[in-house]
Amino acid sequence: MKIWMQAIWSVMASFLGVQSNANRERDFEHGRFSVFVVAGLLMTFAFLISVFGLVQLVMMYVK
Amino acid sequence: MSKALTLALSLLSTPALADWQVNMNKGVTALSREIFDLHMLIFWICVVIGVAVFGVMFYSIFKHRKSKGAVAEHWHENTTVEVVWTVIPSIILIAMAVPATATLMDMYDTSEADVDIQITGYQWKWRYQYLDEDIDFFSNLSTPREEIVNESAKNPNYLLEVDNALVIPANKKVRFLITANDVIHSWWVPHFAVKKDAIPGFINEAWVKVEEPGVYRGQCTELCGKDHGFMPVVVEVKSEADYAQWVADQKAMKLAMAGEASKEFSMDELIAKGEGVYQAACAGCHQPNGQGIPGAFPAITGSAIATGAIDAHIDIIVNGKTGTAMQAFKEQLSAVDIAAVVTYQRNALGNTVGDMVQPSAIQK
Repeated sequence: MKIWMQAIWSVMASFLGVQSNANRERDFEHGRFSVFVVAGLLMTFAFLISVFGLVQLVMMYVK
Repeated sequence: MSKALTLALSLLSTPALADWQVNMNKGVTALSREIFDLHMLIFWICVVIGVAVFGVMFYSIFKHRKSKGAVAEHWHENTTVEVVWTVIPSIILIAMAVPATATLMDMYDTSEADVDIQITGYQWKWRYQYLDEDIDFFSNLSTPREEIVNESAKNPNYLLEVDNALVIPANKKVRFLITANDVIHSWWVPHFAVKKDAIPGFINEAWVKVEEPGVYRGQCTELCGKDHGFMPVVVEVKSEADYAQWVADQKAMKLAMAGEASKEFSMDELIAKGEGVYQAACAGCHQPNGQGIPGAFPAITGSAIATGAIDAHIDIIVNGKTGTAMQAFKEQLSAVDIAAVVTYQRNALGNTVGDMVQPSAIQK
């Protein structure tokens, strides 16, 4: 479970473009490639949903 | 000191400011004011950010200067600070997108228009077709050539005046369907906050609802060739009653023109009329004196077409010539105009063919 939370956290950091060096080293030493791929896909989907939701919200405000 | 202050104040007085307007127009429609307000909102957000960021920067540079014994710190990262300066701009951008989206949606809402007008860009003129009214005309630059070549003083509307202005009613939603016939043009009237590309094969939409009657001027804003700067836009906004009268006048004029096409003209009448047509429709390329521009536009004077068989001469004006800049004028000129300009070209500009053609003989 911990490895998943760390992967999701790191993917979020990569979306923002900011990551601490300590976390980067931890990911490269202990992380698993497949976990990062799945976490990346999940977070991309979550990002798309949130953009869609945001646009719907703005449209409601406009109408 | 007080002299300098007076000078500075006088420079800031209204006339000086009017001459030096750098901000965009507020415009004359509700939508243009909405766009202006959005522009000002974003502008002030940028000013606040700029002042804050540069303020902190200059203060830090000054406060921690070397002469005060400041020593640079050496550290590699600070995740918190980096997250803060990434998240705050993102939030500002998203917050700015909310009013911007509202304005954009208004701009794109071309539904339920009262009047539909198709605008087509040509090299180098605009064509206006009223889709519900059977009104269709071209709008050509009307600035006299003497002003352009500095032989006379320039009038205040220099290069911003046309022979036939686009006429629209006040307080009605007018939808523009904008396209082009040859290359990409762009139809722009600053006071309407409308600027739309006119692209061959595409139709772009825009709309206006002008409250006050008046004359509003604009230009083509997409570099479209030699006379790009010579195809202005003039829009005349009329009250509803005046607009109805104008529509009736246009229809009466169309009937009168249809009658003229079957009339017989004398050679002198055709040449006199043809000179006006030539200066408006042909002189841009073939030049006012008929000499053309060697290598680009052929001369009319002594031309094989203008001094050869009259049918071929009429044909090239009516249908144009594929693969060259010579466009088809059948849509742009009436039968009377074509007969007149053919007769003019054959018997003026140094040509003395001696024949003429009647409007009734022009097959479009």
